[in-house]
Parts: sequence; structure tokens; C-alpha cells
Amino acid sequence: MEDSRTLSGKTILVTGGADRIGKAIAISAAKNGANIALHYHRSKEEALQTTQEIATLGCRVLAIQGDISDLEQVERMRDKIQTEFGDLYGVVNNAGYVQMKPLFQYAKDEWKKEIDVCLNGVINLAYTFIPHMKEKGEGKFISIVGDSARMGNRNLIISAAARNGVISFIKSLALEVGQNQVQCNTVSLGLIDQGDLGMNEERMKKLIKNYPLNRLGRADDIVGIIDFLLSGNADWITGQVISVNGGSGMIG
Amino acid sequence: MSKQIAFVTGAGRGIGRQIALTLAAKDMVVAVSDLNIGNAEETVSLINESGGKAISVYCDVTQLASVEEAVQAATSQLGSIDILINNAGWDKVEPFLKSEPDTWDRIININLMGQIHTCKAILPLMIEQGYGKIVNIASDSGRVGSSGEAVYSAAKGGVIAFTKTLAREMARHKINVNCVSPGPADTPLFKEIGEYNAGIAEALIKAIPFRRLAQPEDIANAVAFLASEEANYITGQTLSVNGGLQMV
Repeated sequence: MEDSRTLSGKTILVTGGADRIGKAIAISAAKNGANIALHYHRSKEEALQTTQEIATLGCRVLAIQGDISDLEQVERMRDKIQTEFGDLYGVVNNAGYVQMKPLFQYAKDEWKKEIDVCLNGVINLAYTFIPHMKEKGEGKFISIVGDSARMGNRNLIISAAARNGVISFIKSLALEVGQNQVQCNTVSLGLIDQGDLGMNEERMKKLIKNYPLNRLGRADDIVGIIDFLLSGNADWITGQVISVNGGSGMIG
Repeated sequence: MSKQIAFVTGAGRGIGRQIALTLAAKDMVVAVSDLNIGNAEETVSLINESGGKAISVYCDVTQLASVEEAVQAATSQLGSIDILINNAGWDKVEPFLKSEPDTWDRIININLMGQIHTCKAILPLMIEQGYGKIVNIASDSGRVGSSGEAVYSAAKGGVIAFTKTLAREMARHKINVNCVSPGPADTPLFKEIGEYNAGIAEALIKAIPFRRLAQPEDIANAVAFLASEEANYITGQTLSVNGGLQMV
């Protein structure tokens, strides 16, 4: 019987896929039939565990280590994926490096690594993976940012700036590769509770007041939009930013 | 779980018809409402032919009383309404200074008041059951403006703002309210507009990165996503489906 799952036989790269949101996205794409290239940087143990978990779903999966802020490493990732799976169909960039503090608590140049991962990482991924998609005349490039990139946040001042750059980069990219039927979009998140926010109850309550749906997000809240944007049902959506945030920001 | 029930306005043709077909294909029961009951019945036959379940309902969205009757008719046959798709819309494209008050009234009544009326009539049902999804069809003209569509863009901008406030007020009842914002689409309305605006389709296609107009399916797929459980944490948002013509 023909496999009718939306991503059957297609290869998806999920960056920062070892755990948390990235893991949830990778598992969901795998359930939709994709081969998964699971990127990690430092979380080797978690990545291998997630890889095993995905393998039990009966699809092919490869863990790939690399620092996306380094173009040469991203190119090596591409070569490994090419050897293992052939052409890549989609990239979901979930990786990021964020320091939570106001600007004047940064040491000199301490922000560079953040911008390198959050913005240059996306540029490196696009530069490396999109040429094949253009040639094939199909592909999906999705990057995840935080709503801080759309609205500002004093404690996320650098990553928010870098990721606002990502939004702009992805719009221009969408214009560039639209004629090749490659869709490029940004998913923007509210605060996702992954069990490690370390907030007391009172602070949490105050925070949740900003969320009309009356709770913070969960990794599972994100996979629906990613599944949709990776699917053929979203083939006419490109250059857009969609927030998944429980109503905490309503922009545009 | 019993089948979900969707109420779709302007479902007699174009994008609305496709939304009804797509939701029916996802195993929902559809109340196909339209001003033109013949068109609505055709949509129902199409759904029935493909094994789905639907009923036709006459509805003039510009009249609250007509909307209330339509909702009554739908719920008496189907039980309740879980999903509301506000799709009914209309426009006449012309320079603002050449347009007349009668046209403005018609545009605002159909595109903005129509959605206000259905929400007024249907939200109480959703609040009572503690669940609901509303997807309002806006337009990219309401986000970025569009020459020849001054009042239409104002009405659609109103739809977007109305959506955001309803999303805030209704969140506590577990009702999600979002917009899908189409760019130019290959629909009967667009063909009508093309009849008195030579060359408009060609010019738009040139400007769209994907080099084609939207097909009704493109819009219906996004509507179906926002109407699904997959979108439970999305509310108050506007999703443009436009082939890259605008990026807000």
C-alpha cells in the first residue's frame, strides 16, 4: 500500500533536535513519514536517546553534531545528510543560543556568540541547504524565533535583535526563491514551559496573566504549525510570520 | 468523539465552497450558508457525493435577524456549532473618490457587520459548550492596503482588529479566534473584478513570488489548520496565504 503520510520518504533537518521543542518537532515529522537528520551541538547523550526513540517509529534517523554558526561545519552536515539520505526536503531551525539579561550586564563582545548562532546560523543553513532545494524546485525552510523578536524584551535584547534579523532574512529569502517553489516562513513563540523556568509560583501567576489562554506553551503546542508548514497544504504560504503564543501578542 | 459541526458563510461558491468541502473531507458536518440558496445546495450536493454530510442554510449576513434564523435552522438540524468560518465577502474595485455611499454601506455590511452578526449569534453556543474555533477571512488589503479597495480594506482591517479583541475576550472559554488573510485568489469574485479591470490578473501574477493566484484549496487548507486541534495554542493571529505577495 502506498504510504500517504505527508512527509513520506522526505528528509527533514531539525536543528537543536536533541530535546525539548526540537525533539517534539523531530518526532512529529518522523510520525509523518520523514527521514530525520537530527542536529545537536553539545547535547550528545540526549541526541542519541532521541535518535533511538525516533528509530522505533520505523523511520530513518541520523544524529549530526555541528555548530551552525560555523559555515564549514554546516557544510559538513550537508555532506553527511546527502550521503545518508540524498536530497534534503526541509529545514526546521530550532537551534539557538540565548543569554537572558539586560544589555548593560553583558561583558564587552559577549553578545557576538548569540548573534552568531541566532542570525548567522540561519544564514549558514540557508546558504548551504537552499541551493539543492532551488534545483529540485521544492523545499521548506522554517525558522523558529521568540515573540521577543517581534515585540522586544529587555532581558532578551540581543537574541531578539538577532531573530528580528531572521524574520527579515527569511522574507527576503522567500522573495528570492519563490520562483523555485521553495517556501520560507518563521514561527514565533510565546514562552514555552519546559520545566526549567525556575520561577516561583507568584512570578509564574503574574506571567500567565499576559496569556489570554491562561497558560504557558508546551512543546506539543508547536508541532501542529510546523507539521502544517512542512506539508503540501501550506504550499502557498511563504515569507510569513505566525505566532503561537496563547494570545500573548497579536501583531499585524 | 462525535463529529464536529462547522458553520461556513458564503459557502455557495469560491473560497467558501472549498472551505466547506475541505472541512467535510476532514469528517466535519457542515452548515453551508449562503445568500444564494441554490449555490449552497450545489455545495451540499458536492459534499454528499464525496460521502460527507452537510445541510444548506439561507443566510443574509448583513441582517442579524437572518443570521439568527440561519443559526437556529442549523442547530435544530445539527445540534450545535463547534466551528464558525466567516467567509462571506464582497467588493467592488474602484478609486475611492469615484465610489458612492451605497457601495460603502454594502461593502461594510457584508464584510465587517456580517462577521459581527455571526459572532453575536454563535459565540453564546460556543461559550455554553466551553469550546469553539472561529476563523475569520480577512484580506491582505486589510494589512497593507490595496489601491481601488479603500472601504473594503477598512472593513477587512476591522475584521482583523475585531478578531484580536474577540480572541482576548473568548480565551477564557477555550474559544480560539484567528484570521486567514488571502492575497488575490482565483475565484468568481476575482473574475467579476477582472471583467471591469483589464489586465489586473496578469499584473498581480507578475508580482506574486510563486507566479500564480491562490486557488481556493490554498486558503481552505489554512482555514482547516486553524480550525483543528493542532492550533489550540494559536489565537488572535492573522495568517496570510498569498504566495509571498506581502510579508507583514
